[in-house]
Amino acid sequence: TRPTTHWETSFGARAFGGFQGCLFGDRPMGTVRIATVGAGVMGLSTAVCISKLVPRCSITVISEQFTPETTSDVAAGMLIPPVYPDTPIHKQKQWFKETFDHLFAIANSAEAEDAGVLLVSGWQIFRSIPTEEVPFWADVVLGFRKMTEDELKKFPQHVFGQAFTTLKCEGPAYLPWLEKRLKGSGGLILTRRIEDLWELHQSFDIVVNCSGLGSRQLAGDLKIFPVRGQVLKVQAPWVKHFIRDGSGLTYIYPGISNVTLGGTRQKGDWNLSPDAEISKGILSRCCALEPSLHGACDIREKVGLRPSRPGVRLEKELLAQGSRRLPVVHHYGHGSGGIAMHWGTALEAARLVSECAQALRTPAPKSKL
Amino acid sequence: MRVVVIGAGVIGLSTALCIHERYHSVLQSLDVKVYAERFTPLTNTDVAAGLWQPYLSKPSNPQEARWNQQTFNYLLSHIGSPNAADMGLAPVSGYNLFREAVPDPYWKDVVLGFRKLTPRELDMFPDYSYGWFNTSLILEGRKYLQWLTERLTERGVKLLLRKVESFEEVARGDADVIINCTGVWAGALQPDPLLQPGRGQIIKVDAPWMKHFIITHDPESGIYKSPYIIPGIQAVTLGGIFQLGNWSETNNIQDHNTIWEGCCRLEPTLKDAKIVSECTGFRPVRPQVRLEREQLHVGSSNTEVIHNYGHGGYGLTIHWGCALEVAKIFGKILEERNLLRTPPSHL
Repeated sequence: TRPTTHWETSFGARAFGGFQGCLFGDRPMGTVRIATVGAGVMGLSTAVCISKLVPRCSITVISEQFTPETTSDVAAGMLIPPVYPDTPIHKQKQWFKETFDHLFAIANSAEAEDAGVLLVSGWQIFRSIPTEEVPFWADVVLGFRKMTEDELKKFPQHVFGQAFTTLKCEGPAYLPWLEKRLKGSGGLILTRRIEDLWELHQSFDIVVNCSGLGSRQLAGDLKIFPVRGQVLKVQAPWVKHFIRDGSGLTYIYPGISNVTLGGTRQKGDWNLSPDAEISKGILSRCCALEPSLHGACDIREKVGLRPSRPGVRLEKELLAQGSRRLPVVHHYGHGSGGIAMHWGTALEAARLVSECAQALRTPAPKSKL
Repeated sequence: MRVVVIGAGVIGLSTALCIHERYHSVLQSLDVKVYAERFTPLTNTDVAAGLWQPYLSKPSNPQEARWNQQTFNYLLSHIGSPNAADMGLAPVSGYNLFREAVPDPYWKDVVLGFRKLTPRELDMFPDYSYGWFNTSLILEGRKYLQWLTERLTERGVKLLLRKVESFEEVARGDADVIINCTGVWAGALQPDPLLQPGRGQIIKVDAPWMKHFIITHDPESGIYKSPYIIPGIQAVTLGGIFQLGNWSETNNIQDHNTIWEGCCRLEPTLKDAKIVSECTGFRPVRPQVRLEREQLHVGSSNTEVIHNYGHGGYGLTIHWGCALEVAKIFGKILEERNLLRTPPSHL
């Protein structure tokens, strides 16, 4: 029997004949039906990559939340990557470089404003000399060098610093931009909370799981946990540089229409409501680094739960239930490096989806894989 | 002691403030007034983008290099104050672009973090093959003049709308010392064939994603004739016009197109930026700044005039060093007249 659940559409997604055909009738020969769960930066960018890489497929992004209510919307989107202990450094560097190159091209094009991508210069400063003075990503960003003595005078509590130019990619603009791209290539977007990946088995051939923290339930993955981050988005248009304390706890990231002040790293904390004491603390720490922020106004508090994991989960899994099979590509667990790594990991996820699609199309003695 | 400052651009107001700060407490009485025909937002200072950056070549008067540096250091000392943004002051980094390799500028150690551009950075600017990156300061003319006006008013310095026809008129009525900060209009008070207008036109746009200044250089065209993009606190200034001898105060459509096409070519992201305003100003161009004293004989008394004009396109860049120099000359005048009770602080 066909599922009788009503599929709600959002953001003017088209409900056209092809869609009906995909779900409820005979589909065109060889069209692989792909569902991506999650519409944060991973879900949307993976869907766009798949649309470019996998021939003859239909893509549907299904999510409970969309921009501006995703974790990606809270993130400042600075391309300063974290280190994942369980992922080889060369892979992280590759993912970061691919993301940087992709966004750099957008930043220098006429799309920059629409996509919410801009170049920002600034300083990462340390209270004590770090063990690694030159991080793995130093030659991916632009103009990386140590700060001079004169530059450090601005930060009397800090003894070492790095100056460089990097990119900022802002969720509230970038996600709609990706959605537009996706719809332009025939992709669909549906609003629905998925409780179990098997719900998708009837209507889709491959599922891409970009559900972030949702994977605790959808993939039974207990390795993923929230790291709560609270930030303030303020008006302070005279701030043109980023300033980041090497600990990652205090940062000032100027964006297109506001400045993000942060932050916190609260492991295992699921609370999405802003805490007033924490806000005071953030403002105070940031004003210590940049006293002109005392004049900041229109202060808005935001909270996001980083989908943290010792390493990004980027792999295929064939789910089996009785005689049913469901190929899944997992693509989640980027913690604080979502925006910084998204395009590189999305490209890899799309390659994995392509492999699944190939396998589905190849006639074999056994059905599917 | 009665001082009249003529002119209320950055030079006039900062000189008035500098003198009052240094001598108010060491004189029995110090009365400072500012006379001007134009106040913010109608001065040439208001049109300037406000980036601290001297010309590339060494000035013919080596004192100017020192005054530039003094100004930078003075402004830098205010970074870190909660009020910096009220002054119109903020650090800003950016690019100077050239079509061929050039020697480093004499001010490379004054700005912060000066370095050459890397090949990947140059890839962003296909028309250019060489360049610099450094961190400098923005001092937005309008905001700074408002801030100076507040400081002066707090100190009881009066700012008066008054068209001055001659030094004599001021000497006869009001002043022991006149500070001539009349900028590009100095010739009206005393002919100066060395002073010329360097007309500039700028377009202000809303482009808040632009966090860097981008200044191009074309040795054939000359300074300010090549496109430049300078982000301010709220808007971004686009420019690239420098016309010696042109007194036209109205915006010119060809100049508009020159600026727009040049800047959009340099920075394609500007294509859809919304235009906020457009204006024209006159840089007070002179081979070097006129900063010297002159005695006027009016009736039976001597009135001192200290000239402080002709700062070209680097008025904001050099203003505080010049103000300090004028204060020094003023101090000498006071000594000569035996007016100083105690040595002045700050000098």
